[in-house]
Amino acid sequence: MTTGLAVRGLNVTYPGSTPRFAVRDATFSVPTNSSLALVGPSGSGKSSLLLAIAGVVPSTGALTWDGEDLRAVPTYRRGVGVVFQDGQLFPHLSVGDNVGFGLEMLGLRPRDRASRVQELLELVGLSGTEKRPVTELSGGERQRIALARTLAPRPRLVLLDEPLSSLDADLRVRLAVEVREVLVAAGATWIVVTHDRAEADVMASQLLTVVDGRVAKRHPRPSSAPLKAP
Amino acid sequence: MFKNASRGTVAAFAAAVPVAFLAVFFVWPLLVTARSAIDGAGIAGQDTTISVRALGVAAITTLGLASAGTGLTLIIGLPAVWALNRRRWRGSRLVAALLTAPFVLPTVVVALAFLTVRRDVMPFLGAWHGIPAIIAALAFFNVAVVLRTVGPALSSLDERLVAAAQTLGASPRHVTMRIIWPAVRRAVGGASAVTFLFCSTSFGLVLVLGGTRVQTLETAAYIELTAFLDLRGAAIIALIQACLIVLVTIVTSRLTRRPVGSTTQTSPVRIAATRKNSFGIIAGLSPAVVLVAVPMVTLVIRSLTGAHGATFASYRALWQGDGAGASLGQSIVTSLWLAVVAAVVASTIGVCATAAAALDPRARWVRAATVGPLAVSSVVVGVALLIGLAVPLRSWGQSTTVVLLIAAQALVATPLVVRVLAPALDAIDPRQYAAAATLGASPFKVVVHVIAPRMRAAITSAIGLAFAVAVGEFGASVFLARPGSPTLPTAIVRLLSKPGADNIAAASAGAVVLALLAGTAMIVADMTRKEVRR
Amino acid sequence: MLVHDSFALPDDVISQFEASSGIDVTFTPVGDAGTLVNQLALSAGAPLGDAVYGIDNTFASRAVASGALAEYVSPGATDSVSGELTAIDYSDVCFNIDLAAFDSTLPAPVSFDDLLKPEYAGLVSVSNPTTSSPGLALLLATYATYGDGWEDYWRALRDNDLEVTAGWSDTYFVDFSAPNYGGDFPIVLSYASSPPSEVIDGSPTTAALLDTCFRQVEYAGVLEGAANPTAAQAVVDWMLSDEVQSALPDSMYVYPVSPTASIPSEWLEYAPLSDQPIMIDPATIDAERDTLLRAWTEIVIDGQ
Repeated sequence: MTTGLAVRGLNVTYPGSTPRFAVRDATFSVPTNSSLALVGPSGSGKSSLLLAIAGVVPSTGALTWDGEDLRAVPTYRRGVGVVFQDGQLFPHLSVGDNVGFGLEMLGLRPRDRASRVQELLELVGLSGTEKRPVTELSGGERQRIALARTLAPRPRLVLLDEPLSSLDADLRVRLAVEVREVLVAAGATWIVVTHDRAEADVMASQLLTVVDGRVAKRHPRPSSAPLKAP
Repeated sequence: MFKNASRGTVAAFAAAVPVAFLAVFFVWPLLVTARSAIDGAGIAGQDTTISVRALGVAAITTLGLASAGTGLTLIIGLPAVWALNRRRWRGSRLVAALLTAPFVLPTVVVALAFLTVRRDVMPFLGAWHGIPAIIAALAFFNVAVVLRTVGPALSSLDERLVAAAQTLGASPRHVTMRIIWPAVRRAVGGASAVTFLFCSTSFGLVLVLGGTRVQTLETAAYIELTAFLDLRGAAIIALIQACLIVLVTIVTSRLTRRPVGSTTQTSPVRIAATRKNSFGIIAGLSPAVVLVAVPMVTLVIRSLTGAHGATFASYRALWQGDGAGASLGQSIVTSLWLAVVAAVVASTIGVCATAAAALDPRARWVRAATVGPLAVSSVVVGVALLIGLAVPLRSWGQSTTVVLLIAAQALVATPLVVRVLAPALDAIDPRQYAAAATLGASPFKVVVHVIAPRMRAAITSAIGLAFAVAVGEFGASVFLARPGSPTLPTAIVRLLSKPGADNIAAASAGAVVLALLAGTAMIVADMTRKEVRR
Repeated sequence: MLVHDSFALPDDVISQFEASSGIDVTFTPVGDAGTLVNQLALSAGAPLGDAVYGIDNTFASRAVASGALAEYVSPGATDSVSGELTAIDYSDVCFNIDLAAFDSTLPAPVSFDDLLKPEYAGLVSVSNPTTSSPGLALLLATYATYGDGWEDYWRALRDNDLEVTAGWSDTYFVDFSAPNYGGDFPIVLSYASSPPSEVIDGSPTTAALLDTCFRQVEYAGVLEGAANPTAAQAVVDWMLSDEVQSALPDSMYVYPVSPTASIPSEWLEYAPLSDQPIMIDPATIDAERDTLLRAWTEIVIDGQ
């Protein structure tokens, strides 16, 4: 039995009178504790693929985790965390409340949330910022908080949708390594979507290209890329 | 002299115009009214005979009606704004425009429309002394406030925030309570506050729909003057009303909180509606659509129905000026030219106030002060002008009442003019003034060559808005209009107290004409303003 | 000439006067009778016209006290007030009944006291005296009839499901159950001169209760400070002429004061006047009116 995510024949269509495919017949798997990068130019449908796995957009085809049909559950019970492109932090909540949101949804009381929130803020290098309003954060800080927020409720799968594309180039490089380290330390299984091949090499152990809604077959890792094994 | 004057001097001159106008036509009459309330005697040596009990009943009725009106508005308006703004769908803009149209209608038109509905279609609205009809009419007006205030807040909600919350485990209930509600909470509070304020100052509605059984503070002031000729009593009531409104304004402005910023740099994502949503959208919109459509349709039908069936006779009578339509036809002419003059006056004052505030920050208070008359309600303005200026100065001749009527309409219209002009002026990058100055333009030339051309559209829009407000003005006009030459709204209400289907039909025709006048002016003003933004 | 909203005279009568006298007359309606007097009072000394018609005995003293009227009484006057107002016409404000609603099982009421009986509960509609002049006439009539007991009378009326409207036209044209109107109330407050309009095919359908009548007199006068006092006086005199007096019943549903004027035959048959209408002198009315109105509002509207 395959552990982790298994995608077979996934189709995502754009809404409208004449259906257009955002993703067609995608088939791949991501075993537990491994990572995958989906690389492709903008508009190739990779973000739609991620959102379909999370359940935010509708799709057809087989979608399972550890053999269970993921589509049997709505998004909010699927246990799939998403780090959005520009963070999507809740502007009316503080840093601490944002990070603790998923825990609040699980029913944890404030006292129990506090220690986990603290743990994650340390993990992303922003300890002590619980009370700051999120509108005061810089771009890089926002993405790190977004990551902390997503990891807090220990999702079984983490999806990162172009997590670094809203940042400056030099920040991107540094943050890519940091994010990967955080994900490893958290013991996560993740898929990262990016248009930057180098970034993909840093952030995941497997790589698939996505062009025009189609997922190409597995590519072996280029041997020159330096990377620790997950 | 102007050409080389400093910014401060030009600002001072500009500020002097609104200050003088407000001092003469607003502050002074209010002071005289206040003094009359405290110690003065009425005409013909009478003292006031109004009882504290009656005052209390009127105050409680005012607040009670305002609360009920606000409640009904929210009950009908919130589902409607949800249906219109939660998802994108074709035609939502048009429906929203239709539902906000009632707001521009003069109170007399709406009152007559609901009177017609009560008589012809839904007699149950007349139960309990007509209070249901009043509350329904209040909601009719103010659903537009909810749509205009809460709509943008709801439609600027980024759907990706909702998706993020879902991926963090938020069920639909949690999404609504923890994500959507915080985003619109402030707008809903603001809409409720504004609605409450409008409901407390709805003199025309209560007068026409409440008969004499329902007395708010404003109608009580009216009765004091017309039935008892008790100037002092009217002054007392006017002051209580003014204090009440100011109190409500202060309390509600404390309750509305500061806006939250945004964390995303891109514009918010919105989802299109699907077939599944259509039932919810229709259900949410239906009460609002019924509330808005039924009175308007009934009014138009009534205006076309004479004693013997469908006819244009009422409109023809207006045109030719005979029969019941005679006084109405004349009053249309009166209203038109009064409103034009009032619009020009209001726009002039508004321009001066805005310009002064822009040129010199010390003059900001002048711009804020122009809101005064609106803050105390048009009835208070009318009573104050009557007691403070019209009666003492009656020996100056007929023309004083005309001047005061124009002043009253201008006072009520000016705050809206300022609200249109101020953002247009603020939109001009201050560095443009600096650029012009470095190129040799004195402050006066800056006004003429940099500000005026950019403001032309806004000024046109402001004049249109002021005209629409002035032509439909009722609360102050009813106290100041000369008996022989009423304005269109006061003439319509007078017709209502006369018997016969012809009179009601004529009044309805007049109301439709009034609605068209005000509505057209508003639409023109709105379109011009949108061009400014573009 | 300032007039109230119910003023009407045939155009030929007016033009005949204008031709023979050389005076151009414009009639400016100002509102109802109460509004008319208020406008006079508010503009006393700086009048809005030259002459006035439509001040009735319930408001006459207020008009005189305000100083808005000039001293002039027409030489042909039969009745005047304080040397400043000339009586032009009169009418009786009485309860009217829908004849079809009453028979041997339910006899028609006759007096004020009858209206308190349980069998007439919910059948009576009157107009608010604060905003309606016939309503005020009724209030004054009960005051004259019951003296200090008038408050108890109205409490009892109120408890008998009395309907109160804002104005006479709401009571008469909407509430009255007469065949022409189809309302729900067979006993309404109106005028002694109303029944002739409800005669269908030669038979009356309504009648006035003559024991409940209050005498209303309407006056004309010259305004103090008028621009054309002589012409104003001529117009007041003209209103007592036979041409005008004979036109009054059909135009305004009132009785002429002049004994030489002609009265329509239907009126003689269907609109008899009361022999003993209730009357109060204008000075007393003026002194009590405001107190009565406020007390009435508390009793009937607020339920005290």
